[in-house]
Amino acid sequence: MDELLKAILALYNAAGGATLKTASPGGMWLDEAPQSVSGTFIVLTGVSAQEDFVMNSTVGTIDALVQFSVNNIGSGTDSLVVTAGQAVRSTYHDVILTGMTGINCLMAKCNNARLIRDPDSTGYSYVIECKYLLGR
Amino acid sequence: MAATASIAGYSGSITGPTGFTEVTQWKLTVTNDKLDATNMSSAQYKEYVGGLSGAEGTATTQGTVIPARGTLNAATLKTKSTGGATITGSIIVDKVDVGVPVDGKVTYDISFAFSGSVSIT
Repeated sequence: MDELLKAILALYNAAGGATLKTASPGGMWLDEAPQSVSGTFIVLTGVSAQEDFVMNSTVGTIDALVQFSVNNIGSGTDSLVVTAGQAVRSTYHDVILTGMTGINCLMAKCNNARLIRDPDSTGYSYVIECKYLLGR
Repeated sequence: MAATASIAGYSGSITGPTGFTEVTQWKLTVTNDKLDATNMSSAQYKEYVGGLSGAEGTATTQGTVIPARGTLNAATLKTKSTGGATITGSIIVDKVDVGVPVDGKVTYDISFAFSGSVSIT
């Protein structure tokens, strides 16, 4: 999971993530929301990494699930998080990640996006799940 | 408290036949027919004698190669790399179900049977 999260963050900061980075000026945060940030930000969370082993071998495959939570707590409109959320999909859906040590990315699919409104902050969240098939 | 003698399957294996490159599980059924020898002198109890022996099973593999079908191939099945049971003989693969999920890995579900003698140690 660590290698996958690092590769996701690396793509965010690379040329391939430029559109997404522009749409999320608050940055992408790992496993925590920032204490103070301006603009739309993303919280990346590793959800699960189920590994299937191969008999008498060091190879195997991993079904990994990650979640992107695109948030904007200061804006009373959903358009910013929807725009950034759609940028998450275009950045990561069917994009084979590279640069992982000891693991290859075999599949990347983003699904199950949903928009959530927080009645307390009156802000919006756009949550997207992505499924990765990894091979070692 | 006595330690368990159970073993884990991660170092099991099937080696020999073409295409059995990445095995994720296998299952073998070893059979010995029982022949009913009950007769009028058996009183109220059934009697049997041993008949034909054999073995057949299933396995799941992954990778790019579809396991070879229809030909006899020497095969060795192990429940553990060392210290477990070993089954050897010639197997023939009679069916391969190729699974191609749109959001998962390609797998091959194989049915096979031993032909001729089966060594179990």
